[in-house]
Amino acid sequence: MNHNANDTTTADPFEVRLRRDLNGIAASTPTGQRNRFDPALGTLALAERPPRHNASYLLAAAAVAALTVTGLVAISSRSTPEPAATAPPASATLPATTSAPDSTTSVANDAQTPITVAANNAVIEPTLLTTSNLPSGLILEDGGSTASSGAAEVELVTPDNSASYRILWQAATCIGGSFSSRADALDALAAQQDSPTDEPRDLYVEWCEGPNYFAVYGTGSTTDGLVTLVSTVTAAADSSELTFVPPVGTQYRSELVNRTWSALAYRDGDRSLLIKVTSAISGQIPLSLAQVPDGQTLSVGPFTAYRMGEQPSPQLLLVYDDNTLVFISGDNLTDQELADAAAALQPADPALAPPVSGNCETFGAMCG
Amino acid sequence: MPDPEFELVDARFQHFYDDQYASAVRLVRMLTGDSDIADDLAQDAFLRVYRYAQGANAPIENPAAFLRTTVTNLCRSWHRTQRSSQLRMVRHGAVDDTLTDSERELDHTLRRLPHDQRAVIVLRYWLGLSEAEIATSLDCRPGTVKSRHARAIRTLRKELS
Repeated sequence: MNHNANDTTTADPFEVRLRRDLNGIAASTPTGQRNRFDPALGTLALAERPPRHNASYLLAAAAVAALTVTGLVAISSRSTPEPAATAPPASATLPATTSAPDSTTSVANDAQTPITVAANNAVIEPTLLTTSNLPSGLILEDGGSTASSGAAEVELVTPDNSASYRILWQAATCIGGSFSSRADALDALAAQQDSPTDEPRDLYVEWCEGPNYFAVYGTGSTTDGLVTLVSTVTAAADSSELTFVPPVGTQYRSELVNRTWSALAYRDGDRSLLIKVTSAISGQIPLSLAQVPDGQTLSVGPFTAYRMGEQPSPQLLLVYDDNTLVFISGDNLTDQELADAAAALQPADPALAPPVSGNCETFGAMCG
Repeated sequence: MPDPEFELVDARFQHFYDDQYASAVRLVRMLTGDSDIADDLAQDAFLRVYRYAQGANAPIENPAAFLRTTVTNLCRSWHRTQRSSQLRMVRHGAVDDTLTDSERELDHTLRRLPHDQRAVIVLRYWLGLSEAEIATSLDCRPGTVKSRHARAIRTLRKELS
């Protein structure tokens, strides 16, 4: 993987500069060499190695895989799976600390009326879960919970899931000209005009305006579609509200600003199971699940789940109750073992997943 | 007592790791724009290649290319999941003092490109890969590489001129 191995030289001064500056950026990258490759630092320890008693690495690494799913849920796709059933089992009700209104809304006409939504600052506690059908030999290795907060966000999706958008905004002081004005950002976006042969693709644009930073992501969108949406976006000076004109027919919702993530990890040698839960709001979840790309729908016990990933690391995504989205993933487990574990999800003692100090240090990418 | 076969695999892999580690870290940095996570993602990529090699019936024909594809895939996943985190950069205004003005300008502009366009630029102009090799790494058609390249170059020329 050494660079410039098959160098395609060019006399174009711009490309010469490009090559030179890329080399400069690469050369500035610190490569603090890890002298020995250590598989035990990753998701799986080899069976020949003694089990680790501190599972922080396991949680953090497994969370990378789980978060991939999270990203997929949040970002959406062009596939068109059926929304999952969301009926919780009778035993699956733990109260949320705060309830929030269901903000999923249909935009049913062509009036192009501006919509204003408030930043969704609700604090929702997911239900910590374990399973009563743990794959043979696995034992609890670690657990933890953490809270994360980010930019306010609105998600939009077309009825057929062929396109979706995310609008993020937050108060910010834009430093050093790192981000352009909206007009410049739109110019840059327009420069990426679609050609007839292009497949639908991911696009994004970001800009600063007044006291707010904005980013808009489009999946399966045309450049024109994204430009049209971006042109309508404004936010209140205190960042509490966002106004935009949704593309005709799209559903929209305001995503949670604050999330709680909790997880329990089980392990037996190189076989492991991670049950990870995060905050959700009733009524918004079907919209999330509708955006899961390439997920295979299957029934596991009382749940409808989406199966993603391949052996030896399959993953399931499902809704447990009105406040809880579940990511359950395994390493070196069979599909049946994973499905059986998912079908037998049940509330767990929150003491098993105490708050993790330092947030992202231990949970890494789980912080979302 | 350690299994000698595993030790042999480990020794071979260690050699591969020693040879490719710095390049992998740099590729992560180039594809994500983030030095802080480069070590971790590179390590994760090696781990995945190692696990694959252990389970494979035949040797990996081109381990370096396999690693490159793995790194590229991990960076794409990272990019999808870290968009919120990018917002924090706005507040902190991170600046890399080790870069020249020209490099910093390019770095900022690259960050604003869609991941797939950025990857095409990095793979072509830094790694010097052919269109076919880039298509393999990104799991797309050569024609798609060509169109992404055209769009990326158009944007870069405009932004950097």
